[in-house]
Amino acid sequence: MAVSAGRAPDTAPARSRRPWARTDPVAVLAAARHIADELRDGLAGSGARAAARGVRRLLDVDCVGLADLSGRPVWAPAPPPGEGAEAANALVEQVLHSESKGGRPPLLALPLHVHHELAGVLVVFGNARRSAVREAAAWVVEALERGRLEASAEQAAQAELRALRAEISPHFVYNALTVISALVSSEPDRSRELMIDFADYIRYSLARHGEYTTVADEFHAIETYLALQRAVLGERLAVQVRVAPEVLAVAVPYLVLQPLVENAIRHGIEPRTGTGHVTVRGEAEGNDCVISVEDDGLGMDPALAEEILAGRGGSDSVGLANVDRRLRHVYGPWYGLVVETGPGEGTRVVVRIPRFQPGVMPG
Amino acid sequence: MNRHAAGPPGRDGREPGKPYRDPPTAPRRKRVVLADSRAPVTVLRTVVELEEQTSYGEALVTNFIRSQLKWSVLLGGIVLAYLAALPALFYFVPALTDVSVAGVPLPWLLVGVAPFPLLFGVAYWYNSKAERQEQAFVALVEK
Amino acid sequence: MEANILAVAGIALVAVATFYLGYRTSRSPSTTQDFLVARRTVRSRRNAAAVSGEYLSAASFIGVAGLVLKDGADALWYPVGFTVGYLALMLFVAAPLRRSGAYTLPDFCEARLGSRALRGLAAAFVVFIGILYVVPQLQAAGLSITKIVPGAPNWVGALLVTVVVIANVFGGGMRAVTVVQAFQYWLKLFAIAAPTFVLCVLFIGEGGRGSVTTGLTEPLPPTFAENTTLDVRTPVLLEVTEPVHLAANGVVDGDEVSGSVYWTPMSSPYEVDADTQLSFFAGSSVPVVAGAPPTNDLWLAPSGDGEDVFATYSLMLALFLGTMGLPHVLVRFYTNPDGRAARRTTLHVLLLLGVFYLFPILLGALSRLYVPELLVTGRTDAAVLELPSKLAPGILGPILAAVLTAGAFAAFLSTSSGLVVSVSGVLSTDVLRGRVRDFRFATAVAGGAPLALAIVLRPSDISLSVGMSFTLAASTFCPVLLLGVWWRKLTSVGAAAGMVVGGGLVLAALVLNAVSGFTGNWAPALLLQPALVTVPVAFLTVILVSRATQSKVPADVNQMRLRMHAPDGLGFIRDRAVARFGSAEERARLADGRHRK
Repeated sequence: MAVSAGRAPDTAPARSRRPWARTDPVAVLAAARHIADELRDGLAGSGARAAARGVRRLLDVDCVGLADLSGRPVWAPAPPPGEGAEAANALVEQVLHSESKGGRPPLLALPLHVHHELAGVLVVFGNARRSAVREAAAWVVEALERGRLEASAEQAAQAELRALRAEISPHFVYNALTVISALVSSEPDRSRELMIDFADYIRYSLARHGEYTTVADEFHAIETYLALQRAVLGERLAVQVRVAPEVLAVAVPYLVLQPLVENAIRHGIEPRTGTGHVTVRGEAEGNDCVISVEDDGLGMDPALAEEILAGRGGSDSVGLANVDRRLRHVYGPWYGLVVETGPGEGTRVVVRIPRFQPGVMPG
Repeated sequence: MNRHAAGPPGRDGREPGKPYRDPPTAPRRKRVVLADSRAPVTVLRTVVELEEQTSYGEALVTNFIRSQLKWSVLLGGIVLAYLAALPALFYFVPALTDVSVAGVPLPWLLVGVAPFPLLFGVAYWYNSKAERQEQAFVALVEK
Repeated sequence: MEANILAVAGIALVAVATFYLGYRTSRSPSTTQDFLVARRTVRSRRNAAAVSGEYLSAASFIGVAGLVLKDGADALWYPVGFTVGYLALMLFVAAPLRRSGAYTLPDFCEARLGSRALRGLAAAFVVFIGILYVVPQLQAAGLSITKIVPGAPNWVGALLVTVVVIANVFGGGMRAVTVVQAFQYWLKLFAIAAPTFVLCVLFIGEGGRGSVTTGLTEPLPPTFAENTTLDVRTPVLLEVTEPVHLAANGVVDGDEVSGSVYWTPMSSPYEVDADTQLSFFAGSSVPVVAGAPPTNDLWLAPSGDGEDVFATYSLMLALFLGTMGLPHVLVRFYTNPDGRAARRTTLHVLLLLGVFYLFPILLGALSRLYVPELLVTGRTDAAVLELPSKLAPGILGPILAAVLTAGAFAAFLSTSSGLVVSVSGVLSTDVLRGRVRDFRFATAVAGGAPLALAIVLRPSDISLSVGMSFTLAASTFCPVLLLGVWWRKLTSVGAAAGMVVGGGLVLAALVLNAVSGFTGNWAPALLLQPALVTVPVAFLTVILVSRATQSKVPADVNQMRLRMHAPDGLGFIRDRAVARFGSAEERARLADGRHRK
């Protein structure tokens, strides 16, 4: 083959060209990381050419090509036109069919098996040791595998986020319906209003178009929820809802507040005798919107609260952990729930949401 | 407690003047956050899927945007033409400054008083125009 | 002149009321009904009052009258420009901007162009413009305090405003701010309208005071109504058009003088140094600071000087296009539920501003007759505060002065707190990296930096320095906003280049101005009011650089355009409450049902 234009065959000076022997390890590691980064979107992604360039630098050869299953390699730099390119393309085809390495130095082609499945071909032009090329191919495979894992992790996270959406507690549905039915004969008007509230609430909880809603709608949902709860609990529940108009338009994920209110009532108010107070407050603070749900009920051991937030709190307290996870998913790790509590001290749960977050729009 | 908890101060100390929920023992509450912030959290910036209209009418939308812009430019142009003409007018026709209406010199009326009703009128016009155009567009799309 | 106790009480009252209202609305217990009521009543009108309340700053409340006193017809462009800015905002950006979901200007840059670097640049300009805008507010506060408590140093007022603003933010008073700012608008309107009515009635009752002073149409300088002694605190250059006898004690034209002097138009202008005392007799004509129209007929007519006409056009451009780029304006629009409401709010704002600005113009014209001595010292910004004691007899004078001072303080407070809150919001999100999120620290910085500048920098006319903030906003954010909303081909590189070029030119003009101020005022009008050059250059830069970097057009530009321009009803950003919660009537009825209980 006439491709190695003027290059000496693999002799002593070429030995000193052995990439790992000569090169600074930091540079090698940097090049490897660069390759892995660029291959995040796979061989068909936009970074394939940059990755090929990285492999070429690592191996110190004339050209490197990366082909996906379509068989058209992305070159860095383009191989000399004419016979060389044709030979390379033919070799890629051959490797794709045979799924085993092919060619002779200076033109080598190796199949790339990602998760035991053929994903593409690495073509190398120039003087490089076979073992070096093999290692490079293995590294490319690693990078591709990592990219696939990341993509599926993202999908899993999306799926989890969907699964984490709050659900209506059956406990609440049962109580609400019981109270309404009890009121039907004695206070028909009130029971009718409650029924509308109930329908309203159910409609909000079930019918969701997008991922996000506005604080105004969330507060309205809480309103209907609290109206029903007051019918259930009567005088035992005193409620305050206070929201600054500045934050009404802030976009939030669906039903992040309702589980907090439900939690306050179930764990703070229901178990105790006498009137309990629940305060829900939405305020602006700098570029953030801060919403707090506070009860003066039993409170809990801070260690228990920590367990609950970490998702180890048992089945009847998944609500808080869910909200925590969802907020962190959407806004980043610093935007989780903050719980202030102590045994017998009541509980305050604080949600902090940036008023603007790219991609978060009510819809 | 990690720095997450360090949030804005005043969260842990309870503000004074809080109503009835202020038992004397309140400061004993402890604050809890999920300390394990190393837990893997991918930030999802899910761009809300725009509805079908995205593909439905690129041209339709461009048209609509253009007609909105046309009105903005037209109405803005009216106001700008009026205001921008004044200094030039006073510069080239200084005699105008000697005219006065009910004791107030004409320039003061033209610059200091007249623009305000003009602005409100134009804004009112634009507001109704823009809303009507939007309604027409909605009707067109939802037909 | 002794301290005006009433005015001090007025200021204290405004500060306490502001704080109390903010505290109450965000803290006090309330019933669930309040929420529903709030939800239904935060409508365009209250929002508009809040926008206007935050917008009417020192420049509007005392600066406009001061400039009218000094420059006459040419100063009328300030109130007009301050208002036209909102028309531009409404016509071109209000609704699309609201629909974009952005809360601050950096947010918009990121949402539209998806560039973190551009966001950082925008944040830097927001902080800079914000601080530049707060400084004159604080200086105005300093001036007001020296007027009501003679002998108080200038920094007292600045410190007072800073402390009240920061305390209010720390105390949580800015958490529910719409109500507070709406209240501030009505307070300011009352505080300027009521005294203006009374003063106008008194003026007409006096029969126009033609006997003592020069009529406003005569080709003569204004005259002193009574024997007047003035302390010149900062050096001034005075122009004399009629010969005048006076007693001077201090340094004039570099010479030590003590006793009677005679000034003639021949050797005008006179350079009067700081700490010189000048005594004029009743009926003698008033020397005027150089650069201002010296005689009343010139004052009454728009300037016929080519350079002034250029400056007028430049000013118009800056004010028309600057409003949309001010950091505290956009933030308040976020409270609107959707784009349509944003437009309606602006419509109301135009009405509210138009009503307000008639009064400072009237006050400025009146002060030409009654407090011409301010033309000598150059502190014309004090006109609004000094006028009542000259025109109103007996105790009425101090009362009116107290009302006006209280209103002026409301202006300093509301604008400063709006700006400090927006600047510290940007500081805490974009500048203090690493998610420290210490909003209080950011607030202290955002309040402290202007305080230091206000004390260090030489006070100039308030409206002029505010005008510079408008110029900067018009040369940096306006091109990005307008093109971002209407031009598909905008790229982040183009936007950044435009901001850097436009902002850089304005800053260069600022620096040259400052240098010229210390070395003999050689700066041409172009440098004093550079918008006519910087704004077109900024636009051109954005367009050219964007065209050269078309590969960087964000991938989601079509979606973004759709979101910004599609009517709210289509639901790209929409309060879907009606669809989800049943009809509006149903909801209203439900709410009424709760009220019955």
